[in-house]
Amino acid sequence: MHYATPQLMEELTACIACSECLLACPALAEAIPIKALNWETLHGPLSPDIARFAQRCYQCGACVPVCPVGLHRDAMMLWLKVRLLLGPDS
Amino acid sequence: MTRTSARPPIQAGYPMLGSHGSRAQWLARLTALGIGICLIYPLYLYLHSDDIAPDSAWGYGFAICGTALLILVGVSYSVRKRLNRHAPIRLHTMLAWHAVGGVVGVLLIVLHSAGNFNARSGTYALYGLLAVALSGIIGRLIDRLCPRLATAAAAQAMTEAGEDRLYALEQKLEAAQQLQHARRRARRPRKANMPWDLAYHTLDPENDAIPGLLTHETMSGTGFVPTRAWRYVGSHTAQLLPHQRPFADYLHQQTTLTRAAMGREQFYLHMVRVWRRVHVLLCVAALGLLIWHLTYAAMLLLDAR
Ligand code: HEM
Ligand code: SF4
Ligand code: SF4
Repeated sequence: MHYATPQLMEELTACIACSECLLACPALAEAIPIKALNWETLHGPLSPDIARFAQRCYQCGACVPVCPVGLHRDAMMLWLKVRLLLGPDS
Repeated sequence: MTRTSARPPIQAGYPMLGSHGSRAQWLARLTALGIGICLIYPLYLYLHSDDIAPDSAWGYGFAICGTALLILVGVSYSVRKRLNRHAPIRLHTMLAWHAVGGVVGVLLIVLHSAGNFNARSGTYALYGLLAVALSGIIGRLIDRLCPRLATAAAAQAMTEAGEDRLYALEQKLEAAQQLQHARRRARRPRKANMPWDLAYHTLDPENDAIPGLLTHETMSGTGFVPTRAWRYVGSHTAQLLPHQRPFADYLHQQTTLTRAAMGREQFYLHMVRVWRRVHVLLCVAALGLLIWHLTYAAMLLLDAR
C-alpha cells in the first residue's frame, strides 16, 4: 500500500542504512548506495541507476521481513515509482 | 541527509513495457542460447536415429540432465534467498539463472519424453513441470505489468503533495469546521465566568456540520475526498440544499474514483505476491509427481534385471 509523505519521512529517518533490504532484493542488478537511495526517494532528480532500480522493483515484498527496524522498503519503492511515473519534476 | 545530487536528471519515466533486461539476465539468456545452438547437431542425430524413446541412452541422458538442472535451479535460488543472504552472487543474478535454467530443464524433460505419453506417472510429472515453467513465465509478465498498474493507481489515490486523498480532505474539513466554530464563538456574546475550554470542542467534523462545510469555499480546487462527509451525504441526500448539491456530487465522484484507485492498487500488489505462491505450490506438486515417476521408473528398471 502506498505511503503519504509523513509516513515516508518517518521511515526514511528511522532507516539505519544497514542495506539488508537491498541484499534481499531479487530485482537489484547493480550496487546502489543505500544513502543515495534514501535521499533520492524524496529529493531531487533521480540518478539513472536508482531510476532503473525503481523500474525493476516488482513489489515482491522480500525486503520487508529482513529489515531490523521493521521498515517497509516496498512502500518507499512504490513512492519512487510514482515519482518516476509523474516525471522528473515531481 | 544533506547530500546534493550533482548527477543529471533522468527522464526515464515508467513506461508500461519499459526497462530492458539487466546484464545478468542477458548473460543467462545468451548462455542458454549458446548451449542450445551447440546441441542442434547432436539433437538432429538423435531425432533421426532408430532409438527415440524415454528409455534410450539419449532419453536417460535428457532425463538425468533435465532433472539435475531443475533441482539445481529450484534449490539454489531458495537457499540463496533464505539462508545465504550475504553470498557474493546477487539474488538478481541467481533469479536470472533460475528462470533460464527452469526453461532449459523442462525442455530437456520434454525431449526425454520423446512424445511418449503412455506412462501415466511420467506424463503427469511432465505436465507438472510444464505448469511450473509456465507459471514462472506468466509470473515474470505479472511482475512487469502489475507494479506499473499499481503505481498508476497509487498516483490517483494521492494528491500532488503526496498526501493520501481521503485523509487530506478529512483534514481540510476539520480545519473548515474549526474555522466555523471560531466564527460562531466570536459572534456569540461572551458571558462572565464562561471558561475558555478549547478541549471541549471536538476537532472531528460532526455529522450535523458537514452540509455547512459543503461550500464553494471549502471544496473548490482541492481535489480532495472526504470519507466521513461522503457517508453523511449518502444517507442525507434529501436534506441537502440546492446550492450544496454540486459539491455533494463532486464528493461522490471523487470518493468513488479514489476508492476504486486504492482497490486497484491493492489488487495489483496482491497479484504479484499471490502468483509467487502459485508458482511455489505448483513446484511442490510437480516435485511430488516427479518422485512418483522416479519411483515407478526405478521399479521398472529393477523388474527388468
Ligand atoms: C520448472 C522449473 C522451475 C522450478 C522447479 C522452479 C522453482 C522455484 C521455487 C522453488 C521458487 C521459490 C523460491 C523461493 O521463494 O525460495 C521459485 C521462485 C521463482 N521462480 Fe521458479 N521454478 C522454475 C521455473 C521458473 C521459470 C521458468 C521462471 C521464469 C521464467 C521462474 C521464475 C521464478 C520467480 C520470478 C520466482 C520468485 C522469485 C522471488 O521473487 O523471490 N521459475 N521457483
Ligand atoms: S519489493 Fe522491490 S525493493 Fe523490495 S525486495 Fe521486492 S523488488 Fe526489491
Ligand atoms: S533494511 Fe531497513 S534499516 Fe536497513 S537499510 Fe533497509 S530499510 Fe533501512
